[in-house]
Formats: sequence, C-alpha cells, structure tokens
Amino acid sequence: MLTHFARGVTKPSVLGQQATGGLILLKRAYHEKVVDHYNNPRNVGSFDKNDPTVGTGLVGAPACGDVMKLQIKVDESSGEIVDACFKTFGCGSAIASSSLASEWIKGKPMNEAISIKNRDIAKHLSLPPVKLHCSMLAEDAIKAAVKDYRQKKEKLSVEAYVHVETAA
Amino acid sequence: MVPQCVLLPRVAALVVISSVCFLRMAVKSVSPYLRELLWRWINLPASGCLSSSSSSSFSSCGIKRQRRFHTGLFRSSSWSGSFLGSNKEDESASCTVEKVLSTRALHNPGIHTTERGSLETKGKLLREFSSTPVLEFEKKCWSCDSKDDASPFFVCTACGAIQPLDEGLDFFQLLSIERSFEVDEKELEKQYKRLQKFLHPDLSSLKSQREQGYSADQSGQVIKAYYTLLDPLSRARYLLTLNGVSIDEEGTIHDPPLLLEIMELREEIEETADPTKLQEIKEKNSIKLQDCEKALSTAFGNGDLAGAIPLVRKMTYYDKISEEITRKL
Repeated sequence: MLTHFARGVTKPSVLGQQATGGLILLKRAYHEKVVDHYNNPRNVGSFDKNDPTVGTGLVGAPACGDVMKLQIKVDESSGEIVDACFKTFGCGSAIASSSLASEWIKGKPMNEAISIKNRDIAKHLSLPPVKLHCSMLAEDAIKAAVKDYRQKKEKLSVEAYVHVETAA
Repeated sequence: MVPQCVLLPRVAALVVISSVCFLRMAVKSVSPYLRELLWRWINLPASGCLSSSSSSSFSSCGIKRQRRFHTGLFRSSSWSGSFLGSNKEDESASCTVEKVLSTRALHNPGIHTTERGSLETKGKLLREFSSTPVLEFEKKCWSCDSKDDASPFFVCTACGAIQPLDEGLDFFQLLSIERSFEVDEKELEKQYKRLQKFLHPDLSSLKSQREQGYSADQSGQVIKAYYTLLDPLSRARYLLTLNGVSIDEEGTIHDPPLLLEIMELREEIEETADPTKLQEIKEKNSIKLQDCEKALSTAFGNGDLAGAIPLVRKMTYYDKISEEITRKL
C-alpha cells in the first residue's frame, strides 16, 4: 500500500522525466554547444614548438584512437597564458572539448589553468557518459602543455647557468 | 463378600486389559525411533534401501559435520525420510545426505568422500540418492528432456530442437577454435558457415516462437564471435578481455613518439587530396599494422600480456589512420 502511494506520488515526476526524455530522444545527436564548437572551432592552429615561450601538450585516448595537441604561449614574467591553440583528430566531443579548453585557458595564469576539471568541461558541453573521456583528454592536454612549458623553462635556465659557468 | 476365586480372574482381566491399553498408548506415544526399531525387528528385511552386512544390525549413516543418526530406522518426515523405501525426492528430509561420488563406495561400508564432506556407512547403501543439487550443469533438451553432453550444445541430437544460448561459452569455444592469437582464417570461416547452416533464423521460420528466439540468439552470437575473431585487433582486445585486462578503462596516454607520429600522419592525410599520395601512406600503414600483428602474436605466444597492451594501443591508432584514408579515398 505504501509502495502504491509512493508510486502515485512519484508519477508526476516520472511523467516529467518521460516528457524530457521524449525531448531528448528528438535531439538524440550531439548537444548544440558541441555542434557549434565542431563547426566553428576556436583557436585551431599550431605554434612553433621550439619557441621557448610555447608549451605543447600531446595526449591520446587509446580506447578510441583520438589524439589531441594543445599549445600554450606563456608570458614569462607573469606566468599568464596569453594565447592557446589546438589540433584534435577524433570525434566531435573531443574536438569540442579541446576547443572549449583552449578558450578557457586564454588569459589565465598557469596555476589556474591546471585547476580546470574535466567535469566542468563535460557539464558545459552536456557530454553524455560515454563521451566523458573526451573531457578528460582535454584536462590532461592542458596539464601536459603547462608541464612541457615548465620543463622547457627549467632546462633553458640550467643551460644558461652552465653557459655562464663555462664562460667564466 | 465376593469370593477370591471370582475376584482374581476379574482383577487379572482388568490388569491385562489396562496393560494392553497402556502398552498401546505407550507404543503410540513412544518416539518414532523406537517404533521403527520395533517395526524393523518384526519385519526384517524392510525397505530394501539399506541392508546390513551382518544379520540383524542396522545400517547407519552419518555425516561428520552433523550428528549421527540411524538412518535405516526412520520413515517419518522429521528425519531422513529419503533414506528408506520412501520417495527419493522426499523434500521433507531434514538431513542433507551427501551424494557419494563413487559407485563403488555405495556397496562398501566405510568412510567415503562426498561433495561437501565425508560420509560414513556401516552397511551397504543400495541406492544412490542426493538431496543436494548436482553441481555440474546437466545439458538437457528443453523440448524432449533428453540429456546431451555436447559442448557447445546447439541442437538436440534426439529431437533436433535448437537450444538456448549458453552465455558461459567464450567466442573460441562457440566456434570450436583453439584459444590463441594465431587463428586459421579458413578454419574460422569454415566453422562459421557450418554453424550458420543450421542456426540461421531463416531456417527455423516454421518452428515455434521459442525456438526461433533461440535460433536468433545463437546465430547472432556466432556472427559476433566470427567478426571479433576475424579482425586481428579485435581478436587481440578480446583475448586481453578474457585474461581480465581491459584497454578501454585506461585513461589518456602520454607516449610522445607514438602520438607525434600519429599526429604527423593525420596532418599529412588532412592536407593532401592526392589519391596516389594517400594510397602510398595507406601501404606504409599496412606494413606497420602487419608488424604489430607479428609482434602481438609473439607476445601472446609467450603469455606476455603486459607487452601486448602497448602493441594493441599502437594498432588502434594505425587502424584509425587506415580508416581515415579509406574514408577520404
């Protein structure tokens, strides 16, 4: 009897879900934001990877064979990302995730950029569960780019130090 | 006063009647154990289910994890009803009589190993019985109830009815192929065609709904198995899954040399529209795929699953490139 009552109470919400479910069924393809990023990707391109102010993040998703390259141009004094570009070979969700990531990290300091989480990207693009790994790929690409820049910077400063030492 | 000679027989009669009544009451109320004892003693030999090796001793059967009891004696349902001449499927039996594994043990007294413990018999058990379900899967036809030990059990040999799909079989078992990365494609195709000759749903269109359903399931699974095992990459992934390794669950990878190579190839494909150039890239890619396949064969042959994983990843990328070129051409 209690379950019957409970069923009666939950019926409107179930109907509501069914209604939205129906709507979702109609728009069964990619979310409009994903389609927008796919058709009009922001910041597609390449920087020179040998440029000392450029960090390159290259990541791949072995499950689906996607590959994503995200490059950042950093202002050395402030540590702020002044420009970003990406190149992704994969599904629409992967392209949209990397496009969005490149938009978000522009103008942010590196420490803030690496705090961007995949769930924020997935939520913004309304990615279905099966495509969550694409947002994860984008998050990892940002981190890889920042890490690459920092490693480059450290290497260059060590080389400069060694050079100074040998000159002296 | 009544004379003693008259009183005595009356008293005696009264005593006899009352003792008989008492005895009857006692016999009725006494525990079933004693009743049976009495019954057996009077009616030897009894059910024929248990017989004793010596003339008048009773057979007993006990399970080490439970207390002993004399099984030859009880017919009532509160005890081991299934022991005696009663129904083998007596569900009211409260004891769990273990299935004696060897038939020889049935005829020899002593301690015998059973499925869950040991069984000690002091006499011969003439009948094998079990109140525990048989552990191994008994393949029985749903249509004619006849037993079959074929594996995989597709069709009943007695009545020809198509059987339900056995979910426990892997693709190799389903197609009766040896489980290995090296697969003879001709043999695979032969098995596939052989099975489809009697499993295909079109052939069971005149049969019952139930059988048509089974036919569809079996045929579908055979097709899935065939295509999974045909392609080397999917075969490798499947073999890894069978060994408990799943590549799909892994996150992102940071393999700079491989990813750089893939990136450059993809860019090259993207930039060119020249079919000759694309064909050239495709041929180079095919060689890389073949090398991967050979390396995988060695890895699986040596049981090196850890070594197989990066090869499968590599192959996934090359396969994607091949797909992309095909799409463009």
